[in-house]
Amino acid sequence: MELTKEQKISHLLRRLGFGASLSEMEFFLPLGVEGTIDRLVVYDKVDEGFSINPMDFAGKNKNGQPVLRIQSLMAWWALRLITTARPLQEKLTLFWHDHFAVSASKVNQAPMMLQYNDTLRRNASGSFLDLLQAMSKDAAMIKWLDNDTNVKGKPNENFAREVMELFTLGIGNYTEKDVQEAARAFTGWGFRVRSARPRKRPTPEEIAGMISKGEPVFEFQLRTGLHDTGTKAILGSEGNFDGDDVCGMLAAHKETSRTIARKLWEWFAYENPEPAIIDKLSKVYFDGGMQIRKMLMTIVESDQFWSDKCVRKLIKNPADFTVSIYRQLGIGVAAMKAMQDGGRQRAALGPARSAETAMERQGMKLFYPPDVAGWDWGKAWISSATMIERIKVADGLFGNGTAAAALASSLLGRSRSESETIVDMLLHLVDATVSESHRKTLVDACKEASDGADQLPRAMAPRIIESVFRALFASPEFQFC
Amino acid sequence: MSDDLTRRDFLRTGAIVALGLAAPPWLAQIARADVLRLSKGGKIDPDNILVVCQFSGGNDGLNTLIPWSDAEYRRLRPSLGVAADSVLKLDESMGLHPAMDGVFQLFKSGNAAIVQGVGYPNPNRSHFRSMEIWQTANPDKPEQYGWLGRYLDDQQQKGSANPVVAIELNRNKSAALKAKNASVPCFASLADIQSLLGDPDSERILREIQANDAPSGSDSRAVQMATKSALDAMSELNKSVGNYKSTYTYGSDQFGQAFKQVAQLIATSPKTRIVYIAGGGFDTHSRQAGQHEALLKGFSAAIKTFMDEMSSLGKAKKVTVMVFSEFGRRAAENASGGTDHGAAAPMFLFGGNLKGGLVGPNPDLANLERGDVKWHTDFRQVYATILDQWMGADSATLFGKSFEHVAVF
Repeated sequence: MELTKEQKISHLLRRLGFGASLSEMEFFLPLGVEGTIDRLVVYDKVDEGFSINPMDFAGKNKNGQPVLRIQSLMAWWALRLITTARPLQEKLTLFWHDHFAVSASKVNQAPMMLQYNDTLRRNASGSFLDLLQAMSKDAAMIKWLDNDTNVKGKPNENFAREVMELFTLGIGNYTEKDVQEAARAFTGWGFRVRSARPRKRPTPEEIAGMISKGEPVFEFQLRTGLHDTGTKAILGSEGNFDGDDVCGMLAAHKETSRTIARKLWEWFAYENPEPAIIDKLSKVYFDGGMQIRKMLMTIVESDQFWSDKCVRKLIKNPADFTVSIYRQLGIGVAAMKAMQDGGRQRAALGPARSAETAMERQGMKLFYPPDVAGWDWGKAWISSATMIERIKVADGLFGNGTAAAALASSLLGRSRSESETIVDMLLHLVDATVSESHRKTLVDACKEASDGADQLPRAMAPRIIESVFRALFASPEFQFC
Repeated sequence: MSDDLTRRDFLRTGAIVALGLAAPPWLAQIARADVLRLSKGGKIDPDNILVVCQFSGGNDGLNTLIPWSDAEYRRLRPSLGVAADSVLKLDESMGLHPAMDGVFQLFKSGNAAIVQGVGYPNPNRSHFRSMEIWQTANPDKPEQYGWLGRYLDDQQQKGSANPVVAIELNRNKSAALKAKNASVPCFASLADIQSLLGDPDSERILREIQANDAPSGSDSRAVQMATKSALDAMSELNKSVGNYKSTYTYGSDQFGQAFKQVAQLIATSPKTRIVYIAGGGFDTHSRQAGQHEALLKGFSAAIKTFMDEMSSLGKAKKVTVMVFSEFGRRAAENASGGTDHGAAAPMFLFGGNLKGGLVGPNPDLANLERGDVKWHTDFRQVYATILDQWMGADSATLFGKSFEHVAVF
């Protein structure tokens, strides 16, 4: 079935962004499909509209000095997700966070996790080789996979194994010997804290200053005395390779192009792509200088991306599910406005935390992927436990005193108080399509919540919306984007 | 006596199984139970409960069950080796990590069996593949359904499905419980069960919105099954679970919190036969000593309190706990004060109905394979033993071949 322009643009927003909100639809419709693709994919030229620094959410240590904690960082990213005007940039950053999965459970330093997150974002749509090399030299990654303890004569295989198994080639495309030899190439790699004063650690204030200015706090360090300069045999080549050489060999490997092609397609389109799709994307990887943006353009220009097999057939991950709803209800924008108007950073913290917590309960805790392989996708997002959490997002949104409860009154205050009208308006608001029988169930839920009253007092609005959304969030249709 | 023997021989030929096919269903059920009881050992009971506890990340077997008197152990682990005088000694060569006092006590009272050297052919050192191998019980090729999922499918076919027969306490369902037909609910915590269902209307609407079954295997069907199994389990458990008040105190660590809820489930849900829990943090590539000690300490305290609570409920003889990890770790320590991915490791079993003690030869550290302890017992032998001698299943059918049992029951 041929999609309308409106359907095409909402599909783009669901896949390249975090859902189609009414205001985004209104903005993108006049640009047309091509214009929307251009603005979403070439996002550098778009003002992100997000200027909150993580230090705005920082706390203080017991000496009264500023300290950035992981909790603040999680809220900061959640706020960026629910407000950004560059949704693809964040969707890609999340994709790479899953691919080059590093968890704060071990790294346990917010400035280090922030720098890792920034590095992912900066390289999100550029060259895969640049990203791979940046990741291999990133302090959080080095710490996470123990490359700082990988030294000449006593190699630690952790990074060498995962870089081949998970980040590039995939299992079965290298040998145990390759892992051991590659580990030698990465010996002596470490990091240090940057400091303006020689051999002095920066003070908490100085670190806060660096973060506020957007400067890196850590830098890569090659400890030459601990680096193994001997000859290594890796993937059929022999030489005095170092870590950069290994990254180069891995990025240029055919299997890497296929790994990245498959994962990108599965993240943005659908699971188990046809072999021809992998072949095409793999070719674009090499022809296009390993540029991720070129692969993305190929994905959205593929017929399959617009096919029945794709549109509204991908299981929403917790970010797709949660961030979309927050954006559609305008919660992020309202929070930012309250923060800017009142000059109070905390005004945005509550909604950001609630979005982050909802994602966490659905199985995606930002900055804490379950292990180095990242999260499992697709059906793995769906379990009885996570379905309960998806349903409960409605409860969390419309409880007393929440941001959405205030919105609810104004929403329903403007509409006629008929159950069918209310349901249609709510479905439109969250870009949902349901079968006729499910629409009846939702109308039923609406009536139950209003105790059969014809005229709805505005005070009942939150409860009514909560009931309709509870049922909608439980419906099979709403789990797909 | 002679009658018994004759009967047993008769059963062994499988004749009654054939007879059972023609017999009325209730008789077939009895016949089937008899076959299992007599031919495979006498511990099977319809009320038996299996708790599976997964150690994610690859637990260091050599620093859990320690060959404390082996000079080779000292040579391989000059800094990470646990001092001989602090080891909780089980015999003249093997002992437990000093943080494992609870396990030590269970071992001494005969409520713990430790199967040594468990692994599988061509050990895989990838976390993900090796975990998948353990969860699907197939080292040869990827398998769609888990080993417990296949067992549950088989049970469901025999008509004994119940929405809470198996439960995982985890946010995401592990591959071990993935089944073709049986839907296993998982809950992040038991508190979730009590908070979702308000009034009957709300449950009705949540059920209605699931609509007619989507095609089997489809993504929509997965959503329907997950929601329905949540609703079914909740309406079954909702009344009972919240009323239970335990008098036992568990630690605040992951194992303390998990076993506390397992006890709550077993105390209140008589139809539950399988509970699956998982704990992480075992991937100790660097600075292992403190981290590993904390994990073992938390687990050990939790399992001891749990078994005590089971005894107080009169359930100690009805529960078997099986602990596993995807692999052990390299025999030699690395330069980072940690250990890399290895192969064989011991498996721990707990319960009041076990034949306690150490099973199988001690690790031979002078004779390693690529730096790892060699396996001598296939993990599927342990699974088969539990399935056949505890759960009353037929492992040979489930696994496609039969595995020699290990002497734990």
